[in-house]
Amino acid sequence: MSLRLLLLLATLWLGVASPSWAENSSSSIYSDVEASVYQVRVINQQTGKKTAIGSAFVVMRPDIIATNYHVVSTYINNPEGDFALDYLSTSGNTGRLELLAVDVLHDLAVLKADTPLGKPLQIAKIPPKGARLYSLGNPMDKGFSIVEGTNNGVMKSSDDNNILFSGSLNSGMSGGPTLDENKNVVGVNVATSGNGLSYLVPADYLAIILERLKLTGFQADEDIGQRITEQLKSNADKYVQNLQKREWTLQQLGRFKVPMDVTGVVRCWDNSDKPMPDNLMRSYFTQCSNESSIYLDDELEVGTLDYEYVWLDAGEMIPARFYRQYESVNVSVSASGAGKQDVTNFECFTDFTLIAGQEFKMTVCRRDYLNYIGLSDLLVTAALVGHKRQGMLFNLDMTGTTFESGMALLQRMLGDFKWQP
Amino acid sequence: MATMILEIQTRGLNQYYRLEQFPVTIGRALDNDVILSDNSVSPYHLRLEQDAEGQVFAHNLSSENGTRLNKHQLGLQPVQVPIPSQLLLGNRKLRLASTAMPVETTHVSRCGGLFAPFCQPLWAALLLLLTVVSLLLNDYLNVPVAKEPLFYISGVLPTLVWMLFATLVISGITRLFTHRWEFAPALSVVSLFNLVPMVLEEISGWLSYFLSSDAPFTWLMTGVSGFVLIPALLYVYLHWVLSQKRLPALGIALVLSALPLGLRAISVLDQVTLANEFSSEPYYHQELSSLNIHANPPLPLETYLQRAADALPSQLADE
Repeated sequence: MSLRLLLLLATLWLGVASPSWAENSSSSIYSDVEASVYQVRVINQQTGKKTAIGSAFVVMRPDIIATNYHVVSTYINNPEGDFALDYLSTSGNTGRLELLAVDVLHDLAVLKADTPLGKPLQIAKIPPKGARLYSLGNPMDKGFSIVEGTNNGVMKSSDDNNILFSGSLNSGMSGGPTLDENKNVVGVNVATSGNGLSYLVPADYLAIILERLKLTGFQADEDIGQRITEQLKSNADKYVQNLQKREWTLQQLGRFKVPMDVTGVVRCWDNSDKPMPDNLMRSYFTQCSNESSIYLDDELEVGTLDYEYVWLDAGEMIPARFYRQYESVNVSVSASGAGKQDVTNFECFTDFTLIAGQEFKMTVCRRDYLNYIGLSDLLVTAALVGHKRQGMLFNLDMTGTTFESGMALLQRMLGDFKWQP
Repeated sequence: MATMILEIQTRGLNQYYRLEQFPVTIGRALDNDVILSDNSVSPYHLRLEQDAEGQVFAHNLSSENGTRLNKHQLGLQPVQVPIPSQLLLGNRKLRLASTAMPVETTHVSRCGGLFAPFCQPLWAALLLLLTVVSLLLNDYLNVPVAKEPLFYISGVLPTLVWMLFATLVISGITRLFTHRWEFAPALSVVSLFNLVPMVLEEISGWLSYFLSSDAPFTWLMTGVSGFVLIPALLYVYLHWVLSQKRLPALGIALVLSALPLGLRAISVLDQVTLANEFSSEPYYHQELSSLNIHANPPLPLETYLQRAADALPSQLADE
């Protein structure tokens, strides 16, 4: 159901690199920009070996290169100095890199070298849908390649506004540039979901970081971690404000009308079990998700919004028997992979409340991010009580939000509940 | 002068010899006055003599396991024996007493009133029936699909077999004490052992929902059902059914419960340790009740959200 994107970070999985097409335009583009494309490597200082690789390109200044945040995330998430950043040119030159700034929301990072690396590529607007695009990078560490594909426009259904690129990107090409016919950068390679379905970060977002850096004379941000936290917090608040303004579709579930899909942001799917002939209880299950997330670390993604509704009908069962089943499904778990190095334990608050005039036993749980102060996970579960033969569960799971925004969204959603007597 | 009595202590009922003529010889040989067929006792082990004033002297004849008088080892010289006295011949305990010495008060069966369920067969049957019905009901409530009655009966059978086994073991051990088969009390104890946790679980679930709190579950299930039930049932059985004195009954009950309680304690300790560790899952009050009786009235949504926000401040101090 959910479209899981594979980030184009090499060393995590193996596959077969697709051969690049040999065409005249490709070969001329490749030879023209070859000197501006690099491989970025995260080096473990203890072993001297690379732990992650990606691609990068020279932009704006000869000593400035851009790549993906996720390519250098190991370096950022281990600030004790265990890792270093290196570049490797198409001609085999290597050297150290300094991290200047990141945009974790759009998966971008800007780095600086001690020496000029090559001719900076120019940033341009996205060409019309159907235009030819050329993607460069170093897939699977097999050597620098060029991949030709088609621009399929900025994705409307998801809110990360990535460009859909019909071309075969592979691991290790992350952070490489995608060029238009004029050899200008229009996007940065970021992810693939296989079968020639790939995603690019629009280069406009890179232009924004570069403009900001230009004002400070390309000084490295003092506290990258703090910057990331600010980006995540401000994004979380804006995200919820945007959601509040949007049109939510109210749909019938059992005797409730509840908020479900949000056009362009949240999609809902029916996930009800097929009824079995000897089942005494009927249940109807709808799951909704924003199907997007912000990559922070190998096992840590935030910005997910999931909620689900379960309507239970006792049929002919006596209430005591029905409530045993009802209680057994009253379990809410977090979908996040955050571990003890990332978050605190959940703290929960439980009490009875009235939603749309009906009594619910509701629990709000919160846990806080240790490395991104001010960000929390919010887990809410509410169970309809007081009806002998009917039950409803509402579960809400938000990761990497601010607690206040999460609660505001919860209030908005619960305020939309309608009871149909 | 009061007549002397020699008490030979054996399991069950003691043997008594009225000592009217002295000397009295005690030993394993068949020409003794008192024959002790205990192979730790010598063929001619002890001779009791009486002087003109009526004083009794013990003359140890055994050079093998010897004799102890009131815990003192006897040599081969005759020693005066105070009345009453404890004698140990090899491994065999004897007591020399006077017939005028008062005996212990009669153990009157105390099994009645509140404790009648422990000794009356009718009660035992009733408790067994209650247990079986509770087990069936529990299974019935737990299964959300339509099933034949036979399904539930087969689910209860293993527990019933276990109960029968436990009843036989308890009544078998009891027979060693009372020399009677006491099926009814054993069945009552075993039934209660199964029934009480089920009842407590229902009550604690209901109370937890009523209070939105874990305390009833912790106290009733972990505390009472887990730790108090076994020693309490054993104590009641020992004191009221087997008429053991309070302190020995308590002691035996605790010794017999030590193993299960120790195992429970280890598992509780594990849970406490786990509760303090990181968990990616939230822990909250999940109980639901069809009766929906709870102490706090439902809050208006705004009040609820405000209280939740107040109750859940940031866990990181430096924010």
